[in-house]
Amino acid sequence: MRLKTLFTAIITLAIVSQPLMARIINVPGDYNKIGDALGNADAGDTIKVRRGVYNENITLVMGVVLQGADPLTTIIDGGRRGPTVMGTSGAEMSHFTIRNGIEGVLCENAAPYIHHCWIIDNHATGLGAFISLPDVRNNIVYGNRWSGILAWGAKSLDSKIEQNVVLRNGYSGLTLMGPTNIVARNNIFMENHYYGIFADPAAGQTLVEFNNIYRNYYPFNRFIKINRTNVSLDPKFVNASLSKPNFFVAPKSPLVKRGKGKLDIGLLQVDVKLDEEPAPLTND
Amino acid sequence: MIYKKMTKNNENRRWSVNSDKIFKALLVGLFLLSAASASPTYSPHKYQQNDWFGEFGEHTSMYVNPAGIAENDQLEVTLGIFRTINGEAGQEYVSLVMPYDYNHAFGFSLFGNGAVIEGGDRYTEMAYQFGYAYRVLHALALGVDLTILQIDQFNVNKQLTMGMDLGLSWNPISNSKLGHIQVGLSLQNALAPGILMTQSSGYGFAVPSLMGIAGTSDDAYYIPTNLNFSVFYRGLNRMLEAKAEVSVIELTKPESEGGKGKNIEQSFTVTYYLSPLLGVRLRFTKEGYPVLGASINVKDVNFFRYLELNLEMSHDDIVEKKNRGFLWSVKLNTRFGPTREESIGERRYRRLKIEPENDYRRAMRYYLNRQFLEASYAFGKVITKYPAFHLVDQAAFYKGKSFENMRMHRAATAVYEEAIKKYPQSDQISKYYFQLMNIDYKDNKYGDATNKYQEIAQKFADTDVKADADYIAGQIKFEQALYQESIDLLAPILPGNANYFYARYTMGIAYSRLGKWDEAEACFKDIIAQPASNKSEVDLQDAAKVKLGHIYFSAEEPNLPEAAALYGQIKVDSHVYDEAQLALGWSFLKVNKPDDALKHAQWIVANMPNSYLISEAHLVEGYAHYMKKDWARAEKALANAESLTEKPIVSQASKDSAQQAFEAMQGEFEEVQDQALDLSRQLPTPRVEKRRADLRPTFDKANKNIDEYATFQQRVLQSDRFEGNRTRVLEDAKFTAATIGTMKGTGSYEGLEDLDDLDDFGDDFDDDF
Repeated sequence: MRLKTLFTAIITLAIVSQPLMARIINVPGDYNKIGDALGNADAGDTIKVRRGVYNENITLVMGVVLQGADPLTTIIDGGRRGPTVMGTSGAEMSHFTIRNGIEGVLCENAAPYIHHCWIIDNHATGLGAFISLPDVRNNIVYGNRWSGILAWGAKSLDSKIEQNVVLRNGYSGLTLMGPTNIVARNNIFMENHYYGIFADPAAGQTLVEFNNIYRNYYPFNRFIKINRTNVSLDPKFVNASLSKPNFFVAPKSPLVKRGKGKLDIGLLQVDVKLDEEPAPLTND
Repeated sequence: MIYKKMTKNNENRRWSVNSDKIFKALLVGLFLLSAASASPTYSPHKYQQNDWFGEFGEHTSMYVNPAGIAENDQLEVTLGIFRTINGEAGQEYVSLVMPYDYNHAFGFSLFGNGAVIEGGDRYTEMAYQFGYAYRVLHALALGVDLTILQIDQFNVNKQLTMGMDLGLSWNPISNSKLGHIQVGLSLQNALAPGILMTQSSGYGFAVPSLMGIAGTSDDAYYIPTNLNFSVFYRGLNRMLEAKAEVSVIELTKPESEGGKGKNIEQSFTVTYYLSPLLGVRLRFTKEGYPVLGASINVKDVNFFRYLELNLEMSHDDIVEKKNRGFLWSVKLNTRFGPTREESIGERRYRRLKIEPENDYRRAMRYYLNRQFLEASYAFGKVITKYPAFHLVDQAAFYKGKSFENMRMHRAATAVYEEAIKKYPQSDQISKYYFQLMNIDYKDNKYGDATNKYQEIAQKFADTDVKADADYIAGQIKFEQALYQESIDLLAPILPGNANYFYARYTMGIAYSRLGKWDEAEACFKDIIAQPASNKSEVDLQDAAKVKLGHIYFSAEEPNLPEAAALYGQIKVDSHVYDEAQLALGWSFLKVNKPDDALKHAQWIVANMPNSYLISEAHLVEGYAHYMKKDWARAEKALANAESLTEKPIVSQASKDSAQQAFEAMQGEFEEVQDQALDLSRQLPTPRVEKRRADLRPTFDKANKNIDEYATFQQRVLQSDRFEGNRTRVLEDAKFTAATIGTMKGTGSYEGLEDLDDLDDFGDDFDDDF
């Protein structure tokens, strides 16, 4: 009994010793608009957004986590007024559909963490990154008028473009311009109307590995080094139609466990970050 | 409830699927309707509505709708040729469209239209179009073009005229699910070109009329105004394109010309891409001709980013026999140069590339203007926003210095420690370590400062920072009265080092404390011999001159002329001017020149009443009057000297009180530091700016308190320095005043000793060291 009491006390202490300053802000609830919630959030706060269509253009806030309920039903509609989302370093955004802006997500000298989002049907670039590279993981970048992902002069040792599905964009799936030097791996670039991956001569140092570059107008241009870890295979999505979209690869897809670290190429069901090289195989 | 939700979801899905089917059915229906209702018509001024051009034009020629060129995202050149197989009729055009930024597009088109009739006479029309389209909203563009027409009717009637078209283009839907829909509405010949009916020798010109209604002339025929309405659809992942167009021809047909006007004509086109490179086309023109065509495209060929070839054919006999045989057209569409994405991206990149530099410079301006709080925020922004910027480590250094200059040592320490962790390879790292040592020194934490000095000597012995660290270590030893150790640390600091003057000065004082006057003299002479590069060094030179003068004054064999010469070099704005004046006063007393001594002493009394040497000035004044046997004045001056030296300049009670107030304020100041540090780490959003503004009054108040305490501490320092002198001055003043008093009591001043025997003036300056 005494042990149980002690255990309860320890757990309670662990819970209440969480930083008292970090808040959960609900939208709607505390604020009707996501922009208002961001304007009143401090670093460490989490904004949880319920499903719905939010007609606004927002700017992320450093240290604030912005989380939608579900990417298919929590929608931020940019209304063609400008970028739907302006990135900020140190911010995090996930589980939204970001649509109908001029750019979907625009990061100018900013490196937020964008994951589990649908960046679709924007009227310029889907995700544009200039100078700094955001961490872009597990997103679907679909049907944007220009490039799916554009990185211009972006350099990063920490951030990567990983585990994304980039398809049917008006220009290239991934466009690398200027002295860009990043890592793009475990992505699917498919059916883009120009190149799967396009690089200008200054961006040739980008590491492109373990991607699936399939059925684009052209796969890649001559300035980007594509090694043999990259493949061109039908990903066999669970459901590629937009009425019931599911862009995870099916269990029998050739992309299962084909990526770096034995991960799937494309979206991951369970998020795993490859921060270190995988441990060497042993005889065990 | 769940059942209802499921039913509703099912209904929504059914509606979504059904809407796709309905939409496609509508397209087919429009197509068939258009085909069924197509009927040939003929108008003598058909070129404006020549449906080959109309279909050619699409959005690149502005021919039908000038707003259409807003859809271009790249420099595009289009060449089109239409011919009848017998060669009797033909049209050509070339068009150039240039997009700019998100919202602008400029176009130029040149059309040639011609026909040859029986007898070989030729009719030609050349149209030069200059157009501009602007996206008022991203989904809505407005366009206008100006057309100059050059008409040659069989070499008999030559005309030059101009017209204007207006158009708008609206994109209500553009998404992956439903596709892309573009709705166009245009008024061709809103300003209707006029053609003179009378012949002239050269080119005739008729003023255009507004829609053929206003401003018309009886001598001219006005090309009709037409209203065009179009719907363009692209979908199925760009595999399908369809366009339906309805035109009202001759919208404002004048009665005088007979006929009904307002003829409705329609056309329909559908293109299906079998692959991204190859498409097949079926068209029904406004004249009712069915046209078959194909489109081939390729991207990135040489400098062409895009090449498209369109071929279309029809036959005259299908609808109305005009003996023209096969009708064919070829259109070549090329795009090259940067896309809108690339041009806008390039400009954006250039702007952002220099943005960190601009922000860094802005921060540095704050710093150089001594706006240290703003500088700390601005450098913080550089560090937070541009972590890969090549000057980010320097920004960290100056952020720390900004806090240091505000005496926010706690915040400065946090900045330097953070910088050491974040930028271990930076060439600034030795400076971070040194600044931490310097802060400990300023906070009188000599033990910690000495430990840090050992670390610097070990890790950064070859850097510039070592000399700075030696200087601080030397100062610490001096404060600890370890004069020889201090000298050993300061001696290696060479001329050219920013601390050289200060090091030499401290060495001079240290040698003096050790009684090594020759060495002290050498140090002060070194300072005086070097050229000063800033005000601090000039002040230090003045102080060195005064100290050297004291050495000459107090020597076993005093060298008063040298001493006086040095004192005389001190300018009135120097911080040691009072000391120099006082020394001159003593010097003149020593050589029995009381009038000269009085001048200098009285200058201090009159001009520097707050000087801590004022009491001694009164003493000199008293002595001077004594030497002149002016007893009354001597008494008065000596009484002043006494009264000013009875108590210390700063009492112990006021020191204690100030200390208590400062300690009470310390807690609040630490909180201000923490807040300022936290705010400097955040980007300047409106919320953060508000919090910064809210912090400002508290910061100003704390800063004022600290400034006042620092000023008070300076006074305390002077008071403590003067303490030794205070007792001496008091005793001397009392003794001399008592002597005069005694003589007054006896009624005779005879027998008063000369001042020469009273005091040995040579000892007067020893306490200054």
